[in-house]
Amino acid sequence: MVRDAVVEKLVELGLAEEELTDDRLLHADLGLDSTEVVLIEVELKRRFGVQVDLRKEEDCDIGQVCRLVQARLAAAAPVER
Amino acid sequence: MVTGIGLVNPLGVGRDAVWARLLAGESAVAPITRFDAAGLAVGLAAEVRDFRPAQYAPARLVAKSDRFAHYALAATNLALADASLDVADLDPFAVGISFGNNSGGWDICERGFDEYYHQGPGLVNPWQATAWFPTAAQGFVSIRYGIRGMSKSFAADRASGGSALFFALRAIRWGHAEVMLAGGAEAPLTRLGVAAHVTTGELSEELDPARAFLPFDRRRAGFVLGEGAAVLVVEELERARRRGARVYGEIVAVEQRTADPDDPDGLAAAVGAALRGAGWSAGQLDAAFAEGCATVAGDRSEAVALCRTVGSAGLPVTAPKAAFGHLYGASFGTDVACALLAMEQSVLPPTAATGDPDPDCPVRLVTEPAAARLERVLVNARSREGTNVCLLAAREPGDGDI
Repeated sequence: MVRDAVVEKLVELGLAEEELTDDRLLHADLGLDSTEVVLIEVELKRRFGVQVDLRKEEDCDIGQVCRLVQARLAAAAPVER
Repeated sequence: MVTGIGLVNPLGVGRDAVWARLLAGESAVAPITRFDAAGLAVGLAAEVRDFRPAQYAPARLVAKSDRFAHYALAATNLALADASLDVADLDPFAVGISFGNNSGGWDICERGFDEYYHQGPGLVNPWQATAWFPTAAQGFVSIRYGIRGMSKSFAADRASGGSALFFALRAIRWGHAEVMLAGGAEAPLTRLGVAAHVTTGELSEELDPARAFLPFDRRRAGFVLGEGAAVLVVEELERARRRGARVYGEIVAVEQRTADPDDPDGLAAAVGAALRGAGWSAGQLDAAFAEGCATVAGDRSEAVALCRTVGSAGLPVTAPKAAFGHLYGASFGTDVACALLAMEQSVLPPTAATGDPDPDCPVRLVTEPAAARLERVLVNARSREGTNVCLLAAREPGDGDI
């Protein structure tokens, strides 16, 4: 679910879906600039209500972004209930 | 010298498509289809159709830019291809951009407002600040082609592209650049964009496309809004000759004068200054491409200024924009392109819609395509608040000219 959202936005940015494997780094491999990373952050906030600051992290890959969001969701879940 | 022409226009994409439809007397003025125009005072526009920006620019740039920048990117791509010029082969500091744009990116603004008001300030897209801004067309073109020479964007209402050509000619003459990409872009056709333009009081509220935009006609009641881009490759004569480029013609002079709105003195001063700068007499002109904005006062004062300066009673005058709407930032570059093509092909494009010329505007209006040997032409642009630009172009380059 999280992965689908990230991939959807990266495709909207003009990246080819077949290059979007979990091990691809946002900056070093995909060449995202800071505004493109913000688009991913905004989308994660819109879809999942999770605030992640990918610009403060070391360059992370798609898999790490997904795990980061899932960890936040898991941590938040009991509180919401 | 102009060695390349790139057009994105409601009549078509590309120089040949636009020119063919213009000479056929066709019009792109039609009911608005881009959005629901219910409740707006204006129901007609000239929309660019069948345009796919990713054919002309990388998808990554398209995703983060507004429609007016897409038009600019496409027109630049077409102009450079037309000129057989690859910017990568040039000194990037010797290439500049001079574009007109009046009102920035309305598509991205509507998206940003929707996000802000309906979703919250934290969910506004990250390009809102950079994509809407009127300099964005220049910015994205410079990024796309690695252009690093002196570049400017001009906002001067309907004369925005005129100011851009004014600067482009000087950038070359002053030695700032060897090649200039000159023209402009505009994309105001969103619901909010049209609503805002209605407030100028200059848009025609006529609902019949055949009667909506009638320059110099007794029934004229304003103009129809269009959209698009025009980019001209302007380069030094020597440079163009050295590489054996196709030369459309020479931009000999561009002058700009301001005056009160619809005061003929401002335009008359610009025309007079351009003629002096070119060293031409009024009698040497073969045709005039008018601003022809079809407001009652605007056409009247333009006709008065032409009569005063070039004795327009005998000079053929045309305003081809009646067929594709007023393109604001893209307007002047488009008109100059039409003037150059007219000289190259010895035919004047018509102001086809006008059927009842106003005797109060004593110009010899061309309403059918007219075969004519054209060596020297004049092109006007005027703004609502009194900016007047006059450009003179020649078919054959003179020695020592640009």
